[in-house]
Amino acid sequence: MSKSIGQATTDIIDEAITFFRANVFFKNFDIQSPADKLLIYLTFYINVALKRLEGCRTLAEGTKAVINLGLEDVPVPGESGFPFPGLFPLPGSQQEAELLRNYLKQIREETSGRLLSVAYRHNGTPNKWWLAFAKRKFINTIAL
Amino acid sequence: MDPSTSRPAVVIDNGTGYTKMGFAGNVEPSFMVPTVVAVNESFINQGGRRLIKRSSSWLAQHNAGVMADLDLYIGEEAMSKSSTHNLKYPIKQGQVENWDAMEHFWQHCIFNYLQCDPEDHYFCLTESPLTLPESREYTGEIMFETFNVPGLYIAVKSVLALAAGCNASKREMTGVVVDVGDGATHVVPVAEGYVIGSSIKSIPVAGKDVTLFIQQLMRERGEQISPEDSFEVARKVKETYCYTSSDIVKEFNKHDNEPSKYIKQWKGIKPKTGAPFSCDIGYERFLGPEIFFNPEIYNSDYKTPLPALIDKCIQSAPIDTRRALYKNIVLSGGSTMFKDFQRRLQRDVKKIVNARVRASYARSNREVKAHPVEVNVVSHPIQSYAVWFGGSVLASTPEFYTACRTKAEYEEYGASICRTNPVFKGMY
Repeated sequence: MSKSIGQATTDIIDEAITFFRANVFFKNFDIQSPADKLLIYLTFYINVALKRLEGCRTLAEGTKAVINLGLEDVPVPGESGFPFPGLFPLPGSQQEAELLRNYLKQIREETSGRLLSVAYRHNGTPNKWWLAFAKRKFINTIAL
Repeated sequence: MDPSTSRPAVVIDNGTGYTKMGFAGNVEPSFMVPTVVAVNESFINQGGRRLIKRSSSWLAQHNAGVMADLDLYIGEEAMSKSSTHNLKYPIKQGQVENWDAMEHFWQHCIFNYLQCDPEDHYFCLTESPLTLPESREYTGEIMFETFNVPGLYIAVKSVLALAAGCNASKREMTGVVVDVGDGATHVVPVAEGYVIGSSIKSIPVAGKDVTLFIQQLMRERGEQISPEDSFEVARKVKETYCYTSSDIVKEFNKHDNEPSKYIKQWKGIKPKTGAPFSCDIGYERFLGPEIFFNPEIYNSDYKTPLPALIDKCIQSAPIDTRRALYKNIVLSGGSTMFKDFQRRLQRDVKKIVNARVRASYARSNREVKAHPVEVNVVSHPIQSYAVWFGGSVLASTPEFYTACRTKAEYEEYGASICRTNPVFKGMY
């Protein structure tokens, strides 16, 4: 079961990172609000980002890999690359789709930044307790 | 007076992972060995290749077979011979699959380990709930024909586990036995000594799955462990370091914040090279036992957590037994030995029960207030061999000998007498 959103001092990105290592094992989630859906999307994104960080031995390499990930196309709900068809309602117009795309791009960038600070230790070497989860596949079926 | 009734009975509890054996009247089993047989099949292969002259090849095969029988090991010795011999596990998921190997196993148990004459002792064996009657017949046949035992009683493991209960003066014969072994996990309700067969529930998650999960996690992290040894290392890690947490997210945080307190080191020796190696043990310490409470993290097909299953089982039992069943949930089996397993289970079952009581109170417009249901998960230090202990207690009462199936009955009626187990009368 995934956890729903809580206090105001930590935001949803912090929550996604804190709960990632637990949530990545689960395949069924109890979705009570749109925040839960965003949490699932972020969990998936963190998994993707970790896979990119797999070969990088230093913080500099990792940062480069994550920047490259940020430059790639961001699919929105309705497009073929979006990982969870049916989870989010489709955007109403082209403007809404672009707004959503920008929002997703920003949140992905912010998440990657904070992820780097936990995935790498202070001296720049990879933290194996996080990078082990690059091998985990967050496959999911969602029970609404 | 029959000499075999004056000698203590032999109690053997065959489980998927470990076999506990000893004599009745003792407090703990004399031997606890892994249920594994190591055969040397190179002899048989040698004999089989010469097919040209049929008569000489038959003799060679016969000799090879005899040599193979002599070169057999069981238990810990078998594990150490894994490089030269083939390991066979006769019991899978609580049921005997390989009767040949099982017979060899019993032979070694009786003659090499216990070193007793089977003709002089009554035998008390155990079986999983929901065992096929044919299985009991085969067991009876092997015991009476091969070993010539004077009497045999095949007991259901759950009833023995209840009898082993913590209270020596008053033994409660009503309760739910949660038997988490190496190969199978069963939840069996027992009321007044009778197993309520229709309410038996089982889940496909057991000790072996915990070990496999830990092995998988350590491999994903890239720990330096040689592949042929990784299962054994995972098993030892599980038995030494695993504990049950109350909340996995909080545990992850605790591990991150205080690594020196939570992250342990495992030091071992590689079997082939003899070189020492060491690896870190971190979050698998609490993720291992977590698969009982959230099975989907390991097996995506199965979703019901153990507390929910216990609740479902009790709800399917007759209504007048339910409160008594909730009050006496007994743990048995090696895989319940994780630290704090009992507390976590009690907390989770209580949560489900309280939610239901609250819902029914609200539905009745707050008029009918039920007595709170007392949930009690009982654990005691001998959980891993509780079944054996129950057998020892049972087999040291005088009524045991009357409840056994004797050799005379077997010769008169045949193996089918073993199909039924007489209910044990004098336990109270």
